[in-house]
Amino acid sequence: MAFRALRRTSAEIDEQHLAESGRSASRRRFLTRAAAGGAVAVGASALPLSSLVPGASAQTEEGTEPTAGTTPGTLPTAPEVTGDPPLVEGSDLTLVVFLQSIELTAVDAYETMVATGKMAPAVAETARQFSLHHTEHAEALAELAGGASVTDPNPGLTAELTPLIESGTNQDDMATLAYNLEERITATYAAALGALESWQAAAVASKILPVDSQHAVVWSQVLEPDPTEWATEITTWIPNFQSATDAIDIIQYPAS
Amino acid sequence: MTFSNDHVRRELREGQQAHEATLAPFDAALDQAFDPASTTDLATKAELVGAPSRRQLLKLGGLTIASTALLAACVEPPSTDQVAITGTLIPVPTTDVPPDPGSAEVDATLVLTAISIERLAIAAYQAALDNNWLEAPLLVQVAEYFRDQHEDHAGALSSQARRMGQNPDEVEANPYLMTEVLDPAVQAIEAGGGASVVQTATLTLAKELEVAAAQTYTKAGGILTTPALRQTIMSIGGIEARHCTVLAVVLGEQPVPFGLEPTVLAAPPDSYIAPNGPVSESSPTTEADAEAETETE
Repeated sequence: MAFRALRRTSAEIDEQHLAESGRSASRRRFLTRAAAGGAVAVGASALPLSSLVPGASAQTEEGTEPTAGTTPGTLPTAPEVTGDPPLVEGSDLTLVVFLQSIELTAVDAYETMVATGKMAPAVAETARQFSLHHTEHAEALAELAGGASVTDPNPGLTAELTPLIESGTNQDDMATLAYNLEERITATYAAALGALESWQAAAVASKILPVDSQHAVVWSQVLEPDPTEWATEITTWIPNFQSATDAIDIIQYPAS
Repeated sequence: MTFSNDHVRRELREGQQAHEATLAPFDAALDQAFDPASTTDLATKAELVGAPSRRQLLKLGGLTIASTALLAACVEPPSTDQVAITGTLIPVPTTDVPPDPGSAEVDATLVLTAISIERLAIAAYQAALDNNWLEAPLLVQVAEYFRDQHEDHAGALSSQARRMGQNPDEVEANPYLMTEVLDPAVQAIEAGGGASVVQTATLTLAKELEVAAAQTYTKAGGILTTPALRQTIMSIGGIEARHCTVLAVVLGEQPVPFGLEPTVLAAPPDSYIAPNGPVSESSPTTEADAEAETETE
């Protein structure tokens, strides 16, 4: 099959650059096929973070009193700072701490996956390596967050992921979860980059996003090791543009 | 399968020539960094020559998913089952970022430079396709797919450039990188050495261009002055990084060599494309911005 036939036109791309509805649908189909049970349900449908910064809270229903952290369109309460002053502030600090908590969840998730013993040694080594990468990411974000940084994984996300990992029956289940997690983290950074005002935070996010996107590609190859088969879904593994559509929702999964 | 020693030696020699050709820009960077008059700091020098820190050494465990090597069947199988540790030097992961040098002029420069890099990548893939440098049909299809994606990226960036008052039609494939990277690599490829050698050299060139693109966009992500611009550039940078991983796997290299994307191989300032239109201090970054600006006027 010629890949060209699978491509959307440039005009379509331009229009759907951020929406990427076709790609998401394609990925959902794949995950439905490949995943075990609810393994795909890592987070509900997400709002782009760019719609969550202060000033974008028009989603509040008429007559209701908006409360930060509980109302769609507002960020969770700003994190408490104890110790070193953060390098970023305001909504950027909230986003950075949220991202850090997600990175710590990824570290935990990989450790849990390896502990299940359901991965082949080479694949488990990959999981360990990616766990180290996520540790680096969390450290880089902690530098920005200073005394507001967190030490625990994102509670909501971890609470959803851990039982899914523990109930996985084989390596494919682990790889599906890992793939899905990496894609969603990547999308979260794509969304965050549209919201972060601080160039320091944007610089760090820009160093992390490509790596997480590469993790996703590696997991796609674990899921589909046959090159020809893998290539038939190349538009899923390598979309034309990185979308923010599947970003993890900061409201649904606050850092603490 | 048997190999003649002469054939092996010839391939090694020509592979080495290709390798040296592609390393030329790196050599130039070393010369510059170690020039006594240079102000390059010790940490950067150490990074350039690949002196790893203790922490990096601990992380050189390598990624070992040999069983999942994408497309590996398309190229000459490695002589052993061990995943190649390529000697890629891992720079010190750092969040040290320079003082924000962003401005509307720099924004326009980075977007135009990005267009020139996309057009260079398109030219490289097109040359590979036109000249049959890739022998595996699947790799040909992947090259077509990547070329087409770069065309889409160039299109999106061109739209952005127009919104910033620039003329993307005047931007050619990056002349500096063409001279310093693409032309020498093409010369080496055209020297031949066997289909397998040509294919490997072509894939190596493609990966180097993808690395340069990904790292340039990462660098831009910390410089561009608006969130919308950063998001746009990294929506492309993340895809170039995926291309890097695919090509690395085919080449038997580490698919994700860094925990934080470095920028040491980003396009150098000498390759930047200066604005070709008026630059305002508040360049519109989205169509909505542009419309709002028009309405204000």
